[in-house]
Amino acid sequence: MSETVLRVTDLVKHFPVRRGPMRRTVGVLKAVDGVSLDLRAGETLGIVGESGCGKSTLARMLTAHERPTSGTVEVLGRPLHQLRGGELRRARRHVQLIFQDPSGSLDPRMTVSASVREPYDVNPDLAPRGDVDRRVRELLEVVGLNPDHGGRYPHQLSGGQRQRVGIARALALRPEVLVCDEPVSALDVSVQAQIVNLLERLRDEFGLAYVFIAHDLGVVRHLADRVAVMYLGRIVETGSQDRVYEHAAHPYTRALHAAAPAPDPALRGTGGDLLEGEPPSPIDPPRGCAFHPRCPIAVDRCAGQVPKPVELSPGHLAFCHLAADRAGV
Amino acid sequence: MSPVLAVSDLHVRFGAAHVVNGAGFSVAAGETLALLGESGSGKSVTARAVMGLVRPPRGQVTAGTVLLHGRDLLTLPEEELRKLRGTTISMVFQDALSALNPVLSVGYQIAELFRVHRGMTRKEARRAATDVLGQVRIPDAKRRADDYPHQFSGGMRQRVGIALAIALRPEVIIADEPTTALDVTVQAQILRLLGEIQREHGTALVLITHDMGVVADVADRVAVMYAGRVVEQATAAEVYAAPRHPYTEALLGAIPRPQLRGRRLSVIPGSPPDLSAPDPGCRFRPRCRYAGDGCTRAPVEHDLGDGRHTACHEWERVGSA
Repeated sequence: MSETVLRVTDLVKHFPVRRGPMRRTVGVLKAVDGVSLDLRAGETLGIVGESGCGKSTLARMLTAHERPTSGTVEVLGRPLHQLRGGELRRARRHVQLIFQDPSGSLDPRMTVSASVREPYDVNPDLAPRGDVDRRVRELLEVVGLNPDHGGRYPHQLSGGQRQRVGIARALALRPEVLVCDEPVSALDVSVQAQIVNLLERLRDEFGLAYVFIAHDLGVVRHLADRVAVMYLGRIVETGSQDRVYEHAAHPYTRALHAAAPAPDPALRGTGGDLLEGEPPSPIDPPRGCAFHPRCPIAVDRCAGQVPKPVELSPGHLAFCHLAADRAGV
Repeated sequence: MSPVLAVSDLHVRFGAAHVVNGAGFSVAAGETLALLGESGSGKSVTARAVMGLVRPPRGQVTAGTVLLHGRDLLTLPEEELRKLRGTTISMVFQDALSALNPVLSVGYQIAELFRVHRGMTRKEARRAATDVLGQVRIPDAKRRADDYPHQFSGGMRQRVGIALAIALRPEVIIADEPTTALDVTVQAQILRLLGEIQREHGTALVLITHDMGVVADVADRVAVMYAGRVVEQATAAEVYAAPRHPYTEALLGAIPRPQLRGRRLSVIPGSPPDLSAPDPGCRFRPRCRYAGDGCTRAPVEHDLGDGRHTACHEWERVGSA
């Protein structure tokens, strides 16, 4: 068993909802509401879910861009959110965030080289000054950019190239973990394939562990060793990739599979029943199991009690009252 | 079956950029044609040109015909065209919010169609609008008709967009990436709704998308676009089973599939061509694994029978490498 690089325990993020001229707090948006997970070195954990399920807020807490309301994130055994100042900065290096839209994270007035060099300027102990130029060139090469891309500005690059710059910047800090928040969602299919291949190659070369967040089930399946499915701030099912895809136990996971169009006309209409309605607001989410108002198999107790995890096979958990009964089927 | 809508040799320019270069496709009543392409392939501009929404000074349709029941829309005066838009041919946009007026209730906006095109009174139009909102399965349609566009969720807003498009029972609906901004479970609902409406009324549907999964799920036929041209046309089953254009083949290789886990996805080398300096030969040539000397000439459209077309000199070799 390899070492655990990232351990998340009961992570919660609540945002106050303010209204009116006095900005009074009128409610609580439960973006992330008790998430626990762990990630071992070199492993890829896929996180899937629809908009509003809290996957991006989770990503921001894992990378210390956001402070949790409660719960802990441990990076290499150190609790990230109790650290301050220089210690926090050093711990942050281990976990880096890749954004969906790299143009939002790149300074439009900085050349590609300057963007990739910035982490070295901020962290002078990372490399001796004389070494930085060489490192920047190496990083550009690692992510598949030419040396002459280094002199360009973000607007002169394609979406795929910008994403490569974002990855190069993250790699400069020699992280153990990359948290990728929808890294390929905005890209065309052919460009998406290039970035997916790049992420796989980097994993093999540098032994990186990934938290790979996406709404595209196909891409997650391609990359992930383990998958966690989120709904309204909570994980509803988690397990190895083949368990979650081939033996989904939670009705929401099944509904996601049914709704995802397979790239094969021969499979048309084989998906199963579709869900009605849309995910409810994370402000005042439903009581009990948050999925029960949309659930095709809900029973009375689903509205009253928060479901406890049911272990269907080692490491395969479903947070559903009925999962144990259905597992035998 | 004779096509309701037949587009041929369409050329559109935006300034120096030749955005559409001889695009052509046709769609019959009750049929779903997917116009599949990546960004910059010209699929949306083709749709806008068909609707008569590409106008000088920004853009210009420089050649081609758009036959709706044999009448060429490109030569019709604007007055005539306005009568056809909505009644005979209509459009669903990716973001319904941009197609709706934010300061008018959705019920009013749909009712306006009935008043202008059908000459209904306010009261009749209002009732008709509520009916249409019900048809697109908006719960509590009567009350929701008084709501403004921003009060609807993403999925419901897209239903309103569809309601606007189907209100006057057009024969052709062009849907431009109607589900791209939606979550998968909501996307599935909208696609099912479009399918049901189409079957009920025998509408011809042109679905513009970049999503190979959506195409596989709902399209009868597929027209694949690259650099402003339709490079392959065939039934959905044929395209996925045995593509006859190198670009289609490459696209299919780039989608992750369960059996490809642990392997690298195939990528298309290079990048899309510069549309302001069009290549006289095959536009895909610099990225094509089958390219030969003959490809410096523009490929003609080969008719492979049964409505199957490919614009590739080397189509017989596709699938062999």
